[in-house]
Amino acid sequence: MRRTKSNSGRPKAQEIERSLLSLLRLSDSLNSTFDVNQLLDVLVEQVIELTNAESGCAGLRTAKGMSCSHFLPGSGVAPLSYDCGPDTGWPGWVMAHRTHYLTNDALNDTVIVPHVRERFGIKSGMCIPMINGEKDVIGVFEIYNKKSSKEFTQQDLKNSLAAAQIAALAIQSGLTYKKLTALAGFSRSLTLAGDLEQILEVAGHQFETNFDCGFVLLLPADHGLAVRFRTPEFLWNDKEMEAATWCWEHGREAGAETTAMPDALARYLPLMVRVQVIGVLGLESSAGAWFSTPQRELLAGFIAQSALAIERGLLDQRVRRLRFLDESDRLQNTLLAAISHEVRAPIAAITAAVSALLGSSSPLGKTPEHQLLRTVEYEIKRLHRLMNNLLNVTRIQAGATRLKLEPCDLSDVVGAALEELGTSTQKRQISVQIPSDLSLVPMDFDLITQVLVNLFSNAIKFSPSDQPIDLRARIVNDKLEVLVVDRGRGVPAGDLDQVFQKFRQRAESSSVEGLGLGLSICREFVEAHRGQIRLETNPEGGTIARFVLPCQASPAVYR
Amino acid sequence: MKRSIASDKGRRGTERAGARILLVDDEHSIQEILSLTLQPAGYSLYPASTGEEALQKFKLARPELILLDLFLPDMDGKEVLRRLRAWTSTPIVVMSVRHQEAEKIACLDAGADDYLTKPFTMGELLARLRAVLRRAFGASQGESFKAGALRVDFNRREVFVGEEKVNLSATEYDLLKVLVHHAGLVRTHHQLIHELWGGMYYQDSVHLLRVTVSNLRRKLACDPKILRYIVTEPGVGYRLRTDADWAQVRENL
Repeated sequence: MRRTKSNSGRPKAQEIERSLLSLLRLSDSLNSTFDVNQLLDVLVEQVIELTNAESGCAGLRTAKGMSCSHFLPGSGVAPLSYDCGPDTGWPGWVMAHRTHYLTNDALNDTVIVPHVRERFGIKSGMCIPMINGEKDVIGVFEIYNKKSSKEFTQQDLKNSLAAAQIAALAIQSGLTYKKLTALAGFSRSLTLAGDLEQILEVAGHQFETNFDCGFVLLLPADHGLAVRFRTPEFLWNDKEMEAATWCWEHGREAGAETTAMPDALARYLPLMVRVQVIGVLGLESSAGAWFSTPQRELLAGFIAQSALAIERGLLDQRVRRLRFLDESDRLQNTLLAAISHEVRAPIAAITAAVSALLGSSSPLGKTPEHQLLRTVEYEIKRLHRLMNNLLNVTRIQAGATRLKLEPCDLSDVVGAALEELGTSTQKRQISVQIPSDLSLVPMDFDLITQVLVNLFSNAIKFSPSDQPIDLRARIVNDKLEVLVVDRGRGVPAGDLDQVFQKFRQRAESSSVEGLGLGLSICREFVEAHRGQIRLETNPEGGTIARFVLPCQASPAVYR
Repeated sequence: MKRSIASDKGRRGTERAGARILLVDDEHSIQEILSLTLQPAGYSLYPASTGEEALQKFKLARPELILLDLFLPDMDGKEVLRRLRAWTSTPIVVMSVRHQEAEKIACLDAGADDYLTKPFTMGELLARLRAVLRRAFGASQGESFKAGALRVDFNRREVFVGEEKVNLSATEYDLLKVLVHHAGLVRTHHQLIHELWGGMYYQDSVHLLRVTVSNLRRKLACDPKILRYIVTEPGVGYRLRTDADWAQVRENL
């Protein structure tokens, strides 16, 4: 560091007057605009004049460090932007130390970047920070002598520091103005963005232009977070994902230069709406160059705006999905109603007609006609039952109907099931063992009746007609357990679970009407009661169908 | 054993000869089947396909019973029921499909005498018509009632299942009596609670009713295959089987 201590004595009165006039002019020009670029140009121009220097440049703080991009026009220097990290070159040094830097022996200076010095042929120079009210370095300017070997005096330094103070105010206002317009523009473009995709695109584009750094935007997906926008240069890997996820889960900053996952390359900020984290924003930055306070304020504004807009986009998406679901539900219910009416009408007519024919035929008539009518009666009943079951399953799955739970007497339900089976139970020995003190258990009478009808009819179908069928019931662990036991050929052990799959039927039993559909319907109904059903192998040969129902209806299902 | 419809009436002789029935249903097949079967059974049938037609035909035909389908092309069956009940007490049996408990209760509350769930067999329909007509046209409360093995002697307040005397609590007996009085017809939870306890309708009283029914059933139980004298109408109420009903179910099992 070579801060020149050499001095040229007290300044003359004319010099002081010239300095004052110059600073006043600077103040005037700085007051005439909010345009930060113009401000920087005016600043460099005036300081060069003040210090009798040859050229200079100025720059503003960015996420990456200091960006020197404002060179005095006509200074004979080809415009060159260069970005300095926190410890690169004069700007980096000044930013890190928050004070000025002066050298009158640039050729031997270790701070100035050699290629910059060589390219510009700098012999002496000053680098002055502009510091705002929060003591943040918001920008720097550099003043050089290249051809002459004129040294900068303490008066030059004082004048430059005075200029820096005046400029800092104006530039701060300029930045605030820029911030306001940027935020306003951001809000406007977010408002115009229609759906979530557009919102993300607008937000991404605005971040990119306003903060000049790589970034990534993540939103929750089915499993954790998903990247929804990423600038091309942003380095994305598992470590970054880990930091982003931490940020999302904790609602606090994570990643570079924080205490959580500091190994990550980027800093992750939660997008908050009220107290809810709706996403995560990751900003890439080089080490130590985190945003200045005004930048951070702007960033906070942008984040808040984006969070609101993204939430709106997400809500919009949800509303649309709900509307779609609602419409498909309505369609399904209309279809269900139409089907049930359209199919029931012919079934009702056939049932009435067949029963009339059966009723008026000879009581002792075991004629072929009578037998055929019996078959028609049986089959139409089966068709009706199947349709009811399918409609019930569909309704329950669609959430269109809820269970009608009421405390039921199991023997009453068993009786209803046996009555519904009617003639098909004829000649079968069905023994019902229900404890006489069995309490009433909440269930949907119709649905459990259907479960029993299906289980009984399977037992009847899959066991020889001379073998008995048992129904046993008891209360175990506050649950009603019901067993339908047959002594048929049983289900292969490997298939005991699979028979509940919809429309599945054992290959070897294809000559018998479907087992799978009936059982999968049973499972739907039992599970709707929050119960379980399974098939087991009967040690005495045959199958045991076992289902359990909770004795206490949970508030969620009990009306 | 199956009964022939034609001989059924003659044998039982409980329904009024030639009772006039107004049939309100827009299904042509149902109208045809019912007119083909009810007329030989001694009923006169007046078909109507819409609610409007039903209201007009009622004035002309002066039926003794109305069979009313709830699904009509021009108006809700319940609306027809309400309008009819505004000026007549003629028995009305509502026909509807399953899963419409709320509708059924609404109809019974609005004055329907019973309902029949579609699809129904002719046996069920005839049993229902008999029960409704008997109840409406004065078959006075007999001194005893019989259905299957169940026998009730009202004079002596005694109940038998087969040869065995059953001891009922006062409430159980009252419940059985009410059900017998409406044998073959549904009584809603609401009606039964009112008839048994006369009080308000609480969720608790429904539970009390369920427990009473459950106990009564247990005392009347006799059949290993759980033949029920008292049939549950899920979500609506209960119905006591008539003797004919009982015979029919028993035959099927």
